[in-house]
Amino acid sequence: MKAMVACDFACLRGALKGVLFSSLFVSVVVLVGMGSFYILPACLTAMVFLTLINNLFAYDELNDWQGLRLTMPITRTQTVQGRYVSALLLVLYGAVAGIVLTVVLMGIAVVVQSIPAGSAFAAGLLANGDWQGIALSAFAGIALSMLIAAVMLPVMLRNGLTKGIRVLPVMFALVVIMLLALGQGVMQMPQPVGLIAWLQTDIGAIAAILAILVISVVLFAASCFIAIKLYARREL
Amino acid sequence: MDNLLAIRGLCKKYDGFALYDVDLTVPAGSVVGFIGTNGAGKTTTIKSALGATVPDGGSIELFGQDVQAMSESRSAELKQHVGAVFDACSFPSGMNVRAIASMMACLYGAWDATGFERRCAEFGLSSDKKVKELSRGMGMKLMLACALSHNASLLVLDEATAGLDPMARDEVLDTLRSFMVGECTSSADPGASCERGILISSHITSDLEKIADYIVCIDAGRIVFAVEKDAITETAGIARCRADQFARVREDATFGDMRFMTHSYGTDILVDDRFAFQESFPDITVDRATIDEYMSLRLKGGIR
Repeated sequence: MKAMVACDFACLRGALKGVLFSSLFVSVVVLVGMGSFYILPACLTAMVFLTLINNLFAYDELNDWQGLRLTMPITRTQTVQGRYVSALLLVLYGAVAGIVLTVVLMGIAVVVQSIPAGSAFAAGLLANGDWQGIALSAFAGIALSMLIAAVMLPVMLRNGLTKGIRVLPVMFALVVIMLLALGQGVMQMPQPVGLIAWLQTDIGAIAAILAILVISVVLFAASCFIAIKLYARREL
Repeated sequence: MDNLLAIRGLCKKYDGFALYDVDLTVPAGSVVGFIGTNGAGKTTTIKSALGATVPDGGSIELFGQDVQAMSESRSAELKQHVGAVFDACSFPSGMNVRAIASMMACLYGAWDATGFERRCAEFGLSSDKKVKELSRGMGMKLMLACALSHNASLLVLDEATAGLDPMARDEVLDTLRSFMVGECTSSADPGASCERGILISSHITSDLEKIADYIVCIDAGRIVFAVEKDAITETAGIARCRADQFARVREDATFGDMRFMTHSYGTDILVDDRFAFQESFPDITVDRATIDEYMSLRLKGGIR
């Protein structure tokens, strides 16, 4: 499994740096559009993860790298497990990159605040940028990316990027429909007194994010188990 | 261990194509040339042997051990001793030679970094070159350098010399000859020396004439013949007959089944023993058979 992770990161060596530059550009656009730092870590975590994981699946298909890899001393199970570990590391890389870029942009906003021309805009941005919100946003990004990975990886590992990219929107549509149905069901249930108000407190928000993270981890692990079964008989 | 690779009764079915009871062995100490027309089943057979496709039936033994009966981890251990080279450089295009060497060191316990660097220097491969910057020939050399640098006992090459110029092909063949005379460590008994082997599929049969010990031919998913190369290039022959000579040979039952192909200038007959044939028909010219001619007559020739 370690060898597979090493292979994945050897493939991504150049892309790991490159994605930071595109993230910086996207950050500025998102920041100007949304007028808030809160969205940035979550958005960048998901963006960095999706860019790099798609890069890996593209490399798999290019020149039949995945076929050659199977002739090497890596089992199919290790291939899948390794790809899941790589995905998890990419999510964490995305979260760290998201937080660092957000902090850098906040620093720039502080500087801009001292310039008369940009002071009002920068002050508005900084008003929506406390560290708790940034941290929660990063956690939300991690949870969201893991949920995406849980749906995406089995599809990609079974079908490859070219075919998988056509199947994936259908899979995500089904997941969204399921979540909406679940959400409607929850809303129709009698609400525990004060739950909504509690969720709006700092502790409530942290608890909610942690709960989502735990659910993401469980789904991620279940997804890995399914992907191992699917990849076992894949023809390459 | 007599065979490094033994495929028996391999079956695999796809839409519009199937392998039927394919038998193929690579004896220790030998080079097996695997030939056949495009789409005959060479790559499917090789991919099945290497675990990239899952067979529908039959057995595959690697170094004397049944691959399908063993655990995945044992199969991976055995692959430490297999080097594969495909028809294109399959390494990720953004990686440079140095990064590939680092990756291979993670994969193979017996990775020989010094040997790899030496081979790269011999092949003129710079460590800073990225895969996407390499020509087809240089890409193949990189694949070969990797396959040769982890103490493999068995090399599997699928159309590895296709697209290379004659000089580059000769260089590759020299490298393969050196591999065959080199020493390796047995996969079953670490520390003990073992004989090496090569399975090489190719359309360039002149390369196989230079290096192979056995020739196996597949057509439409079935093995057509599996013979020693010398039985083709040394013993067999092509009798070049005029119409009257062909009629005379055709009536003679001494030589059993006879394959022939009629051209505008006469008829070529494939004879298994050109010396015996020459004695019986001294007036007929009999040339040595090439692998190409032998294959053409076996696949497309008429049968008496």
